[in-house]
Amino acid sequence: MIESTISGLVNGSVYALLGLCLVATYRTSGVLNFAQTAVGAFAALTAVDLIGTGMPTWVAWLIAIAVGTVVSVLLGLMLYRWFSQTGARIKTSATIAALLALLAIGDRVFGDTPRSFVDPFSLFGFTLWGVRFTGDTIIALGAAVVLTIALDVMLRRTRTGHRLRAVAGRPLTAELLGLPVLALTIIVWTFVGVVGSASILIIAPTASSTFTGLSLLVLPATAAALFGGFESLWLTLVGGLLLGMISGLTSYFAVIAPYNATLQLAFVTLILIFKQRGERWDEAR
Amino acid sequence: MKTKALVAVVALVTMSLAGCATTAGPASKAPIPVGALSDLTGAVTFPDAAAAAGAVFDEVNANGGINGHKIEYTVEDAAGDATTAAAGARKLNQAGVVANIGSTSIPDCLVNGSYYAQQKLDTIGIALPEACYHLANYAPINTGSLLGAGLSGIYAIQQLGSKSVCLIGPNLQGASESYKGSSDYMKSVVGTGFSYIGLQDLTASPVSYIVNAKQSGCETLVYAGPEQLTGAMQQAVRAQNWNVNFIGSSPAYSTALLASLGAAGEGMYAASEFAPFTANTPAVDAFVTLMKAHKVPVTNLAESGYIAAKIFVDVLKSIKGDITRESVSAALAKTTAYDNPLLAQPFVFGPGAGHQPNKSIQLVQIKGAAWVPVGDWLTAK
Repeated sequence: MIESTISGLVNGSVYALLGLCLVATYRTSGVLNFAQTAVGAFAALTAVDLIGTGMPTWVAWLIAIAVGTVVSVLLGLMLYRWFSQTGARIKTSATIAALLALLAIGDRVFGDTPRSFVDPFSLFGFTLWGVRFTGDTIIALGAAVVLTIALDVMLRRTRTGHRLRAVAGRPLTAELLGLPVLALTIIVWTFVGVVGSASILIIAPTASSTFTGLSLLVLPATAAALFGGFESLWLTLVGGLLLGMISGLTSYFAVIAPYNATLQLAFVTLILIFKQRGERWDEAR
Repeated sequence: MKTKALVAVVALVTMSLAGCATTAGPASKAPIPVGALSDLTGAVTFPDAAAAAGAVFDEVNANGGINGHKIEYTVEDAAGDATTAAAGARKLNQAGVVANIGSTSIPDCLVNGSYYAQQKLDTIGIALPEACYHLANYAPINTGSLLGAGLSGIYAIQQLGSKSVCLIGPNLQGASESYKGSSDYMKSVVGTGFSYIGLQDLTASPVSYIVNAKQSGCETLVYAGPEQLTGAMQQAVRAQNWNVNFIGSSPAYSTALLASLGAAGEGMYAASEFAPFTANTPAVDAFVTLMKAHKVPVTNLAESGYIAAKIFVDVLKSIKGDITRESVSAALAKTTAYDNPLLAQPFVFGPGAGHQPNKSIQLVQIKGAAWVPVGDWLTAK
């Protein structure tokens, strides 16, 4: 049972890293980007298909990250151009529309056939409670921690960080104050595109092997981000790992194992109920 | 104006082509319409079986057809979609096909079973869902996942000397019942079923299932997933440093998987449902030569379509008098056994509410970067 729970850290590190990407986008642009993993999945499948044509892995990865970044920037520009004066709800809805569009396009371009992903990081690793953790998981966890620290420092300590938070919080005011909102938007979505695509490329061999499967990783990632209230990077990290460990633990029990994916829903619902209680408390005071 | 002119030209060309077709053969007898319903487009495609069957029919036609009648083979696209599959079956029925041969479609058996019964239209096809084994008018040429996994488990106990065998497979619709069926069949033969059955969630890493299987002390792991997932599963098993016998399902027996796994695949088994296409026998050579001549990839599915078409040609040759849907159906309903060197036992369609003519697997193993047959046929009683 301990082994099963520990083995969940492999998925947990994936959820944590993707959850952090969501929080990073949210805090720098004010948008909850549901299309984030679909953009990354686009990049990952591009890489697999390019490698399939005989291209060297690192060239394919660079092209794939470029593709993911272009899609991400286009999405960011669309949100800036058409939805900059609307609230967070409309922007978030727009990203859901983008997710649906990407799912449809991805299904056309790549199909839903599972792929064999090249796994360059599985050569090294360590064993913990009988579970072997390979390079993918170590890199995903490492990237999650580095991303957490870097974002924390950048948003709180640097001038760009302050400007980004201003744009995310009050876009119109920021623009009236003369901040270069368009340039900042492009910077944010380029960053999100690079990090989001690279993350999916790293985790794809251990996570899922279909376009839809990779795209829908946004659900556990959202659950992890929710654990951190879309604010706390460290809690998001913990939330992702916790969610992974819960799904690892449930895989041990034959009766509930087939309903593993449903547990993410239960996890999100519990967090929401808990948070709502807090809000009511605040109102009552 | 332009379009009208274009239409006129197209009409002229079509008319002249049609004219050519009818006047070409001096002894042109009415062709025999044969159909197939396969997923040719969409998310997952299965074009090989129908392409292989088409190659067989082309060869027959080139040699004068069946008593001078050419076989006219029409493959409809089911696109992996229930509505398209239903429409495709109706289109084939209206075209007056005498039977469907080499159909490979996920929705076909699920949506068209009762329609085929109503129209008395028989199929010798490839069963993708388990439902194909429970239809009166459908005889799958393949062994299928339920029996295939069960026989693999039996092989592990009897031939590999494993005391405990695990089964992992994707958590798809109906999979839970199918894996339980495999385990029950295995238990009825060797007295023990699978000691762990893992229903794999396809949106997550398989590590947890592998760890659970490893903890339960299995010495052989049977994997019931498709070809592309088998590679990832094999890698994940190796990443856990788990030294276990790995038996893949019949789609895993592929030269593409062999190439993508490289040295990591060494020692892995797969369960072939037909005579292994990588072996060197006259029957296999004939199959491979025909596929290469028609540029059809040499795969498991191509082999199944090839065998289905070969058997069907034997059925047509056995019919005395006119070849119609009725006479084909009557010939199939008999318990005539059709021998084929690529099958472990003769093919019998026969009467009944369900058909499972193929009950065998032949284990193949990757040895020295090539698939090699190991042991003999394993046949369910």
